[in-house]
Formats: sequence, C-alpha cells, structure tokens
Amino acid sequence: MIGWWNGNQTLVHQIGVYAIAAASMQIAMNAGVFSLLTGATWIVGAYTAAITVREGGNELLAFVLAIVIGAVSSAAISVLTRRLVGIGLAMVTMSLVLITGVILESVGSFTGGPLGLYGIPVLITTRDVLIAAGIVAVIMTVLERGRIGRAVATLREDPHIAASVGIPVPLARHIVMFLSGALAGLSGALYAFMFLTLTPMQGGFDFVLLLLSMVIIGGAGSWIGAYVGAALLIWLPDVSTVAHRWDGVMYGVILIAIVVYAPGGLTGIVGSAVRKAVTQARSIFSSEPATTPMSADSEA
Amino acid sequence: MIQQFLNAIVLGSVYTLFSLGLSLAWGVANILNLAHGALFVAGALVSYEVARDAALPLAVMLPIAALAGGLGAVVLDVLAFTPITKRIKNEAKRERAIMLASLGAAAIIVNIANVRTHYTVQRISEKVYGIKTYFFWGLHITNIAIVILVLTLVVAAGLVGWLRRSTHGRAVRAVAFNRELAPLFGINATRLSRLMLFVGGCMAGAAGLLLATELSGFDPYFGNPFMLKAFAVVIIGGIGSVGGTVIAAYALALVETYIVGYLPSGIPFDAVAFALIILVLVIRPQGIAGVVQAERA
Repeated sequence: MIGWWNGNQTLVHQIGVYAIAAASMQIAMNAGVFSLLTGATWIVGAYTAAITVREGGNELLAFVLAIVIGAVSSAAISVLTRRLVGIGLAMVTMSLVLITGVILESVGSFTGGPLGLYGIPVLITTRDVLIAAGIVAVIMTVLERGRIGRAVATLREDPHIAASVGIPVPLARHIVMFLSGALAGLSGALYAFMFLTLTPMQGGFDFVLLLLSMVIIGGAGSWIGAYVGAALLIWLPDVSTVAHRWDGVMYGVILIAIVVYAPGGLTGIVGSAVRKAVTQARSIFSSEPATTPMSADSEA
Repeated sequence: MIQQFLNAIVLGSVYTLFSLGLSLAWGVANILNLAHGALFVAGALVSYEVARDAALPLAVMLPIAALAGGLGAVVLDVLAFTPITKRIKNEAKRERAIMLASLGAAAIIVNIANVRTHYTVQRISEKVYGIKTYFFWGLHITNIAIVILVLTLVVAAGLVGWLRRSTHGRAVRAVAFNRELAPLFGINATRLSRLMLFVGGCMAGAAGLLLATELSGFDPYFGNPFMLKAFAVVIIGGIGSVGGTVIAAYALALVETYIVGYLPSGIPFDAVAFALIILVLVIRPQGIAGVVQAERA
C-alpha cells in the first residue's frame, strides 16, 4: 500500500484535481445550466495562482485569489448570459473558453505568451489535494440534500415550474455559476502548484471535452458521478498504453454509448441496480407486491 | 488593396462551404453537430491517405474527400443522432444529448487523425496537383483558390435552387418549419435530416481537402478555428438560411481581413468572430430565428 502510494502520487493528485474540475462542471449541469465555462475559469485560476506566487504572494493568497477570481468571473458571465439556455449558452461559453486561451497567448510577458508559465514552485502535497477534494465532496453533499437539493432538481427539470413555486431562477443560476467558478479556480490552482507548467491552450477544447466525458460517464446527477468519472478517465490511460494512444476514441465511444443508452451514467446504472435489488429484497421479506419506486436519475 | 479583397473572398468561400452544412443540420434537423469540424479533418485525412498511394487528379480527389465527410456524418446520424431523437422526447435534453454525442464523435475522429498523422502537420502529396499561381492585373491567385471560389458558387446556387424548386427541397423546408407537422404530409423527417447531414458533411469534407492544399498542410486540430467562425456565421446569417449564411460568411471574412490593421497589436482577428457571437447572442438572443431560445424568467 505504501509502495503503491509512493509510486502513484502524481496519479492520485491528478485525479483529485480533475475530480474538482469535473464537479465544477457537474454542479452547473445538474442545475440545468449547460455551461462549458469551467475550461476558462480553470485556466484563469491556474494562471492567477502561478502569477500571484511569481509576484511575491504566498500560497494562501494564491489560492484565495484563484478561487475568488474564478467565482466572480463565472458569476459575471452568468449575469451577462442570463437570457441564454441550452445550445446558445453552450456556444457562448465554449467561445469564451476558446478566446480565453487566445487572450492568454497574446497578452505578452505577463502571462508568458504562447510559451505559458513554467518554473512554478511546488507548494502543495498530494495530501492537500485529497483534503481539498474531501472538503468539496462535503459541500456538494450538503448542497444536494434537503431544500437546496430539491430546488436545484426543480430548476433542472423545468425553470418555469421552478419560478412558479417561488425559486428565484436567475439568482439561483448566478449562485450555481459562482460556485462552479470557485471550484474551477481551486482545481486550477491545485494543478499549477503540482504540475509546475501552464500553457495558454490547456483549458481549451480537449480539456472541456475531457471534463464533459467525466461528468457524463460518471453520471451528471451527483458529485459522486464527477468523482467516479474523473478517477476512471485519468486512471485508464495511465494503466494501459493502448488506452493512452487511443484515449479520444475511448472517450468518444463511451460518451456516445452513455448518452444514447444510459443517460444517468455509471452512477445511474449502479443506482438503479441497487434500487431494483432493494425492491426485490423487500418483496421477498414482505407479503405485499413489489412496487418500483420512481427513478430519481431522470437526468438525461 | 484589391489583392486583400480577393483574399477575403477566398476566405469567405471557405467559411461558406464549411458553415452551410452546420446551418442546414441545425435549421432542418435541430442538430448542432459539433463534429462538423472533425468532418473537415476527415476530408483532409482521407485525401492524405489516398494521395500517398495513388496520384489522382483533383477532380477525383474532391469527390473522395466529400464522400469521407458525408459518410462520416451519416454514420454519426445512424449510430447516435437518430437513436437519441427516438429515445429522448424532452427537446432541451435531446439537444444536449446530441451535442455531447457529436463531441464524442469529434474526439474519435481527431484521435484517429492524430495517430495516422503521427501528431504532426502533414502535407497532402504534391504528386496529385501542384499549386500553380496565376498573375493578372497585378493580382495573384492560386489554382486551388479558383476551385474554392467556383465550387462555393456552384454549391450555394445549387442548394438555393434545390431548396426553392424541387419536391425534396420543399420537403426539407417543411421539416425545418415544423418537424411534428411534416410527417402528416407524408414527409419522412428522419430521412431528410440524414440527407441534409450528408450534404453538409460532403461540403465540410471537400472544404477540408481544399484548405489543406491551399494552406499546404493540415493537422487534426485545424477544424477548430473554423467551428468558431461557423458559429458566428450561422448565428448572424440566421439558422438554416442558405442566403443568410453565404452573406454572413463573406461579411465576416471581409471584416476580419480589413480590421486586422486597426486592431491593437496582439489581439488576433479570431476575436472578431467571438465578439460577434457574444454581441448577437447576449444582446439579441430573440433575433436568432427562434432556435436558440431566450429565457424569459
């Protein structure tokens, strides 16, 4: 166990970083906001953290700035795009992701231009990443339960119904995007301090696709899906060179299969299997006929 | 100055060829095919593979590249878009599922292209057609650019005529107008969507070959910037409108060409397309033919 741990710290670190980034995307999608902005806020967070340290700030300030700038810029974009839904929102946020890379590339010496930033000091350990991922998991669990969780589910299923039962729809969307940006900033800063180099296009199309695959394959209905998807898609190319060479084909095929046949993702499949088993067990132990509970993972 | 104008017209033609397919699939089938840029790459990749073994003239290569794009789109429709449309009835969720599936398809094509091109920029064999440059009235234009101009004109005019006059074209417009109502008139919406995807894919594939030749090289990501441009073109020109798409494509190319001199240094002209998308979608989302819905809440 100790041996494995020492040999695979980078892998664990990477999974932690991507799990938080995937959670950033999942929290928006689960509220019915199809935003791909995480790619932009993530790279901005990473650059913010690296530049803060370069300019003499300590790592605490770097993290705070990365999270705050991620959250505030995400919320600001949310206000700006408040009238957009569905494809329109996805397109605008994707354009923002693409243009963020271009801007980082062309600003000049402040962001290091096309070469990006390198020589960022190592300021955190894998333990710190795990603690961060744990804290995020706790916060996400709280948000998914109770009043807030039900409000978010209503928002996802039908914004008009949500508005009619008194949920402040625009405000709720801004809050969700604020949280999403904060998580992206955190993940970006964690990435910067462990992998030590950043290039302008790192948060671009491929990154967004990877995060989307993680969320959809794991299951968009809960943060657990994002974490499971991140672990799977980071771990698979690491253990198999075939999977590494053909990673795009692998993500693509799994993504299409999940979208077409199992919209709930892996956690959805496991969840419905568990519910089915529980229902069957109940029907064995009680004389009443089994009733199938309504599926909760209607997320498609 | 006139040379710049000519360059802008060639660029606008490439935008037109590329954007028309995206616009038609979106307008007719309500499919936002994010793999459209990858079909562009597929056209270039298949040409590259074919041209390595056989020296064929452009007249033969162009249909091959077009078919590569078109068949790619049909496969995607059969394996993903049609099953999704059958299974998911909620329109917002269907849109999203289709976007995700097309993203997956893009990843597959780009990955294959990366492995086949060994992750570097490749040239399509020059045995096929050497680039010749013609000079007249002090202007210069390559033979490939002439092919691009002529092909775009023929395709755009052909599409407009076909949509206006033919029975199939009118059926396509009926589906675009109301997908639920069209079957009542004996129109097979699924087949027409597939046809439009095929036509769009063919245009993307042909554009891929032509641009890879004109730029004397391609890599698996060279479709990405065109996706951004195509978004802008489709949104400005009106989703599913052939005339609007053509005008918007040339307008964007002209604006991009002439604005470069006035932009502060460091800001790439890609930013123009981006700014247009933001302006139109954020300020006037209701102006977009009702396909991109604005939220009133």
